[in-house]
Amino acid sequence: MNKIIELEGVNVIRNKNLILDNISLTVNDTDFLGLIGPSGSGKTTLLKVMSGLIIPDTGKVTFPSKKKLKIGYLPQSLPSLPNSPATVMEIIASGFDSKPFANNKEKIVSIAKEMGIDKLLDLKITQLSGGQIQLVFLVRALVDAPDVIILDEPSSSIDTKSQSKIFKILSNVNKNNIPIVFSSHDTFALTNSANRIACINKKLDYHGTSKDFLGNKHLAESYGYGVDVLSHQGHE
Amino acid sequence: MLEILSHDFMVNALIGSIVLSITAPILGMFVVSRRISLVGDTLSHLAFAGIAIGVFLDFFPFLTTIAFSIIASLLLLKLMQSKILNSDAVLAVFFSSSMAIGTVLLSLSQQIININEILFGSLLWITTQDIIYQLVVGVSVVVITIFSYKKWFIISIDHDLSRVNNTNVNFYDNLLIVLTSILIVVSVRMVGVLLISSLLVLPILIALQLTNNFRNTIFIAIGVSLLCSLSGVTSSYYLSSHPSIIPPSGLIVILLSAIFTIVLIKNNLKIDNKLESNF
Repeated sequence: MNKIIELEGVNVIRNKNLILDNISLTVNDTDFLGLIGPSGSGKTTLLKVMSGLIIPDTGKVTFPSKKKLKIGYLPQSLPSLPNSPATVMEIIASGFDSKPFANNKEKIVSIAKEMGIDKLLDLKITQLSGGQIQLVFLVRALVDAPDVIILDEPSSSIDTKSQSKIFKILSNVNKNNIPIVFSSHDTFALTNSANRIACINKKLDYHGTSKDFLGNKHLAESYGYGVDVLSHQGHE
Repeated sequence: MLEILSHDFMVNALIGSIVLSITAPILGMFVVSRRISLVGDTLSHLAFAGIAIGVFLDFFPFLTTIAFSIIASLLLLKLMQSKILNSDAVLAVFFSSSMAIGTVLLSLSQQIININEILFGSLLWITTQDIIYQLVVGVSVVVITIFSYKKWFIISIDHDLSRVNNTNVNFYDNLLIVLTSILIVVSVRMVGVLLISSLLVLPILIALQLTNNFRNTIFIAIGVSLLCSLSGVTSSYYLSSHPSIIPPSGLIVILLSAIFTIVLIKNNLKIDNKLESNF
């Protein structure tokens, strides 16, 4: 097990508000880490800190395995591109570092096929629905063999069938020791896909396995109300 | 037709219009896709102030104009990025204040200046030196775009995605605005301050109606731009008779606007027909 991202005592302050309070967290190469927490709890900020988009006011972010990580990133708010002529293929291809397009086309088609969007590749991005756009940017995040994949609410606009397909694909990617960190409000997706869960509410309320997480204490502490956990077909 | 080529100024004008038709849509594509189309207009007004400062100081006017335009354009970008004010407010302030500076300084200048030529351009004003400047800038724009295309493309999609991909967004933004501003300064003599931004924006807007991918939009825009610029310059030569000289910029922009209107109407009719046939 190798450490990929290490956060030590991270604080983020914006407009005199403490957004993240002394977060220490390690992401290992085998992690499929789900972040949960109420709206405004700092999940997006934490993902941005891990991606290098936000520099913490105090604390340290290090990448022990490499000097610079190649990150596959999916933002929470997808770009609004009302008049862009860019095609799905062009947008996904922009996820590659610098290899020639001819070498990449096959890989793009193969991942797009897995995600069920191969028929959309030649369409303009403006012709797609919100859910389809989310899938396109998800493929973009996965396409160039990243060292770590960071996804901010990857299934928020996607139908249930596609959601389970996505998490299955992500789970296969994770088996190759590529860590995945994602945020979600969907407790079912989190506990079924993630092997570790971090519960955030400015502070790190909980960090451990999905199984341990399912005691309603952690959810209740973060959300401020009781959450019942029901057993169903072997799943809690 | 060959008679037109017997005049040096016409040969210069035709070469200049070819260079501008290739370079303006290249930069225009990234300006339009960043949804900052009005930046072109503001930069051309900054060039006007730059020209006025150069004329007023009478100190290497061309270099003074270039230096002023670069510094002012970087300041403009910095303010737009800072979010202290909305981008449209920043553009409005630079737009009007540069025009004001230009007007006052040209009035105070001891030199006799034809403001119409600065505002609208003139075929007679283009020198071989201007063409050399345009060629140098044109080649630089093409070479820099080849190396920066991918970065500018992803920046036009999303800033965060660009940063995660280790793209120095500020550097590429600065590069785009400085190149656009230099292109405007070297092309002002031919097209004029008031209409040059149309050459950045209109060919792209036309091409956007005709194609369905990012790269082809640039090539189609260059084609449209070449067609309109060469037609505009040639028509200006044949339609002008002393003392009424028709500036080529006006004709070029009229042609571009007419094509834009036609393709826009045609495309919308197509959409309407599709909708009707679906019901």
